[in-house]
Amino acid sequence: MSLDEKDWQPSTAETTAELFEKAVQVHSRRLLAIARAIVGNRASPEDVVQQAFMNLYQHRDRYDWREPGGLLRRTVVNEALRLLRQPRPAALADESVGSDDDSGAVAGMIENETVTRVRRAIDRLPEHFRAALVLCEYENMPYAQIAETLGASVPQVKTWIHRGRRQLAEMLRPYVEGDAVVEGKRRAAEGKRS
Amino acid sequence: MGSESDLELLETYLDGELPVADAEGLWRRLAAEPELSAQLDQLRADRELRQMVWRSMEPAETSVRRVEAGVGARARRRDVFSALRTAAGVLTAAAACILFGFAMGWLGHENYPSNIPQPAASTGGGIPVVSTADTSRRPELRIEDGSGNVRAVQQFRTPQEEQEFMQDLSRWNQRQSQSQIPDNVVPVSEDLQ
Repeated sequence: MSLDEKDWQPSTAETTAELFEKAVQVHSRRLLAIARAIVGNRASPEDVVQQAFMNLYQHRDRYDWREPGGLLRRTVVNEALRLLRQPRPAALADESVGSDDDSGAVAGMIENETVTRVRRAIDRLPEHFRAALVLCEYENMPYAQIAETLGASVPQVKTWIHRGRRQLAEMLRPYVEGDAVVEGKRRAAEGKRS
Repeated sequence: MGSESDLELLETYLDGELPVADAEGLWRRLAAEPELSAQLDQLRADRELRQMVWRSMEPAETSVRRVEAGVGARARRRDVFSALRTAAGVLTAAAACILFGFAMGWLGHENYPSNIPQPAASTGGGIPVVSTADTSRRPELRIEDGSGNVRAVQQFRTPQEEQEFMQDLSRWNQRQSQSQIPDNVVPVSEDLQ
């Protein structure tokens, strides 16, 4: 059973093994999302997160497992970037967007299509842009903490985030303009009928 | 679309990284510049869309459970392997010590002398003869006369030679006793060195 980070209160009596196990339960969900954002469909996010945990498990006595969030994020990001630097295997099958309870409604389908479009655009960003963006917008980390996680300077992180957003905007501009044209035509048609 | 510096300023503001003094200046500009305000609204909408995308990347429960199970299984395997490796190391070290000790004992036993004196042997005349079986030196017998003067020292190459000599001497003494020749030579050999 997965725990939520806010529900977990580590006690001083727990051993390192118990704290490690709890950290896996509490943080896996968000770490999988971060890994997915960085590796896209070039690798398995599950493999990334599992390997990151095992890298830490090998030297588990060195770390403080009562507050492992920053350590885990850093390790997962490093493992994801390391994997991307390896000779690129065939891309994995693109995951379908939506949770387990996708209703299939039209609005939902349109939203899924939009989200899929944006996800594909994010997958095309350079890896460090993706990593900086997901840590900034999904993990709500400050620039300084992102810089420490990625082993970069704060100005460099700001540049990556800014350029990543600009590139996304450029990649999505045709869709945005196309949607605007479609919307304009729809309104014009409604105006004529009335 | 506004200038790059305006865009960066607005994004830094939305990221919560704008210093308070700069934020106050930005609020004044937003109140005075509708285009800048519209740009901020657009950036907010883009951010909301990306938030939907980040949330869509959150895994299904089955994926989370696979990761938890996989990490648990690999951790247990690593612990078992680590324990086996430690035990193998201890056994190897113990075996090496035993082997080393055995080798030292085997090499050393040929060189160490045995200074255990042989039991007294009779020459047949009732006179004890004692010799030392000193493997580092040649066994030898001192032949003394009745006054205790050393008449001769007989050395032997091996303890067997010494033993044969003693037997010969014993037989000779017996023959002498039987023929009543007075000058029995009584070897008293005790090389205690």
